[in-house]
Amino acid sequence: MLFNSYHFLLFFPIVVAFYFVMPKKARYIWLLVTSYYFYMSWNVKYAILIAFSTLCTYLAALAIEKINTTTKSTRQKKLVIAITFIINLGILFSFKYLDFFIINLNEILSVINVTAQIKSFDLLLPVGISFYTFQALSYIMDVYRDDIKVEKNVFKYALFVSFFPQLVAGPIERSKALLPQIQQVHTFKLWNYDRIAQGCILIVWGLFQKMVIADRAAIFVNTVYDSYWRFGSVELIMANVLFALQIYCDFASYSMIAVGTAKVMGFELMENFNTPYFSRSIKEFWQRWHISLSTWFKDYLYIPLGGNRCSKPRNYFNILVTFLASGLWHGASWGFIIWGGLHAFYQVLGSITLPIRKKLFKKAKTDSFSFGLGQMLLTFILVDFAWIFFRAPSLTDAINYIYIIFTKWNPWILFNDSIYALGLSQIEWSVLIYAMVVLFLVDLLRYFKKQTLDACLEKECLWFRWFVIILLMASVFVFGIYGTGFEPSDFIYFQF
Amino acid sequence: MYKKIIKIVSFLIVITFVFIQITSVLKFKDIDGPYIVDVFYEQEDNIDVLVMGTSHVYMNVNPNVLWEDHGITSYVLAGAVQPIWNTYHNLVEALKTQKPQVVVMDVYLATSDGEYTDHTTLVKNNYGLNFSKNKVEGLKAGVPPELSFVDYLLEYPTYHTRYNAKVLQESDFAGTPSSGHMQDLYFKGYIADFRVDERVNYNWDVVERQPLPEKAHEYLMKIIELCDSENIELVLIKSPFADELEDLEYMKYNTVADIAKEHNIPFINYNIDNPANIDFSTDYFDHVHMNVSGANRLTKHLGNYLNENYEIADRRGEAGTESYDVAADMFEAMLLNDVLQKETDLSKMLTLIQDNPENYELIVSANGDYMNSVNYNVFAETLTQQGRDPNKIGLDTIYLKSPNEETKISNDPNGFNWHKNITDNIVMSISRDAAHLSPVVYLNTVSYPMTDNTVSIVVYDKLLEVFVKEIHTGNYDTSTD
Repeated sequence: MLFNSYHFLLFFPIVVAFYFVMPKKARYIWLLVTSYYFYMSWNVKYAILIAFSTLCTYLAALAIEKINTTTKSTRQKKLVIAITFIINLGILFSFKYLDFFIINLNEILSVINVTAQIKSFDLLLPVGISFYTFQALSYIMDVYRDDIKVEKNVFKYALFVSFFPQLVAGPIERSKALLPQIQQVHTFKLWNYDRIAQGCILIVWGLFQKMVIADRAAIFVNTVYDSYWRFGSVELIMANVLFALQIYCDFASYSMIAVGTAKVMGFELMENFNTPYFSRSIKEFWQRWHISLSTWFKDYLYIPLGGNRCSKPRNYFNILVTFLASGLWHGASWGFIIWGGLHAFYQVLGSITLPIRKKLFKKAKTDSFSFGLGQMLLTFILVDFAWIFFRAPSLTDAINYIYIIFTKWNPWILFNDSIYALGLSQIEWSVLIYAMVVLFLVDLLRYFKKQTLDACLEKECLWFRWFVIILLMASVFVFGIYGTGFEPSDFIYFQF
Repeated sequence: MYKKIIKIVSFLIVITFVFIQITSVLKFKDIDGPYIVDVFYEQEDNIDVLVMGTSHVYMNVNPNVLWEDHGITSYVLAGAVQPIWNTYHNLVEALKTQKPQVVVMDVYLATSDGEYTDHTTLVKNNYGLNFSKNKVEGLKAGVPPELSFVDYLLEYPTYHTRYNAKVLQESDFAGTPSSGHMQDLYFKGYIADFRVDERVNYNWDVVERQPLPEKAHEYLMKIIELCDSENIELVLIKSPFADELEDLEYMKYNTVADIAKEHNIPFINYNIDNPANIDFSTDYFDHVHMNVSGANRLTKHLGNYLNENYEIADRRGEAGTESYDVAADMFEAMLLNDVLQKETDLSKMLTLIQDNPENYELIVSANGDYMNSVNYNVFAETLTQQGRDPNKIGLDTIYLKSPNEETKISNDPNGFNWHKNITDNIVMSISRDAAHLSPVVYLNTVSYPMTDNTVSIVVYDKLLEVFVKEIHTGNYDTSTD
């Protein structure tokens, strides 16, 4: 069930209506049941996987607690952690990486003239598996580190793993943040007008980003990427810039709707995106992009590896490993690995050239608007360049795509109407530009005021607040990409 | 607490209002679909004869003729390529507000073996209906499994992208039908066409039978049963084809005839023996659709048949039938326009205009060496016969409101700011730009540049709010400008 589907349009109000009126003690059970229903609407069998992961990490946590109260053996605890990780990552590996592994193994085997080919399995990747696996693993790590108490109630713990707003595309919540909320759900004061209104505003804003911007940009992006060899530099650059916009709006919108729906029900989820394209360096970009994932990698991989409290080469190695893992987390293909590697490379290069750059810009007005803007543009170009590997169907395609960008310069297409023949008519371009202006203004507000749209609007007069909300709702209503002729497109991050 | 409730309710009212406005602009308003049903709901509950089916009735049966000849109140409740299940559900819907004495149904799609319908047909045959169980059932019968039922149930998801299709017109914002013509406001379900396509009559010599497709048969029976239970006389007709059919089709219509006979229902097959005396060389504009001449002929026969076989009241003069009089007047105006448009004789044209002062607004413009234009003499003579002074035209442009009332507009370039509201919606104006010697007449924003070296007359029908014709004293065939 997608957030932008009729199914969810019916599901969510029903969930909320019962949730608000039912006995307080039963709330978490209701949310658990509806979360499983939500997940099973994709495929009933998925429930078995998530239940298994849940049970596995639940028991592992109990085991750790038992060890804590008895032998207190770190070795035993580590063994439990290792087994839990192997099982959970093993499931993830089987569904997500096994085929990729087999295909590459076969390639290697054929190079060394071994004819025996291993058959691939072609398993369907369950939606959101990477998200809930990481969330469950974070819990077990937190228990191991004694950062959190063990949850004894298996249903409450199961709800932590499967909470429907963030189940399939994040934010990947930390046990420290979400579990206490689930434990306290019976104490929530649900009837709070302002909180519900804020949640609804976030949902509407999320739908605007998804349906008006992301899915509209996708039409152009897909047209160009699907047959990029027909086009020249300008179309390819435009498609790639729009892809940056698409993936941002697509992913941020999901998180936004997740935060909004949770908020309506009294939960606070973490912020997952914070105006990433206003970043002035790649490092900053990763503090603003998919924050729940990057902090996960930071806490459970980068820092355990030694983080930056080690030698420079070791630090670079840690960065490389973390980003390659992040790339691989996004998908089983060389494109994602290169994408992760590129981001590591940017950061290592940034670190190496820092002294030189400091010297070079010694006399420059580094605190000026123009310098900052330059940094933002450069960061965007680097990030956008890496997106090519993320979006292109294969590594070869990505390389060809880049080759065309640098060799088939065709600026004249900006001065005839040919751009309107690539999926978006002139009117659709106008709508896209209008929506981008709205997005830019909202993000600008976020960047400078450090507040999300709902909080900003709360301070405004009623007429302005209503005007903005109605404008957004009407825009989704009219300009949203949905209805016959359009299949509501999956959020890009679902199968990561 | 109360304050918050008031706030929420007010917000919901505002957002509902906004959504309703958006919906009314974007929704489909096709005259051969939802509009027919929309207007049907507005009818007084005095319809005695309900005509149902596809384009074979909304183009071939003219309620204005039934009204003028027999005083029969009728309405064509049909839709483009209307599947028979939609005809059934339309009938159910119609009976919620009307109590017709006779239902005349064309059986064209009673022979169709389609199980479902396509997007356009769904839109045109379901969207006009008010939301009800009946409408849902009609949709269920028609939406194919590969299309989203919910989209068609909600309707809006299927038309919200009309903003992008370059189809939005003034009428979309005014809430009038897609054609935007005044006559639609007194629409009785008939769509007139004046084109002529010369056709021939084909013999109906197939006598074999072929069973009707299951679904079509089921709904034909439902219609028969519904009429029976509601004590409505059902008359089945087959509006005449001017084309040869597959043998299989003839066989199915023969089966319809059998079913009709079995249930004691009259079935007029207009293809057999040509009972309406259709002239196939003049009465069609394509292989199945009749032009006005054909529709009038067919309707005259149908009217006589109904008059002879059923006691249908002559409602002329009754309260509540005023819209039929207006519709008939509008229809007459359309006929007159057609005659004027087809007329090539200048003198006759001027006489037609003179004889129908209520219908037309004119702008007369004399330009350049107009006195030497081919037909200037005819023009001057006709005007003289009409008791007017042709010399008054001069080199000035004249606006004629009616034959007896004229306003002279100066030819002085500075004097060309003249404009006048000739109806509530139409502003007639004249201007001259530097590039043109002759002035340009505007009806709202549409321009009609006057031809050089002639007297030009722009004729506008203010009753139907349509431009009718531009008449010149020069060669009519040369394009203007």
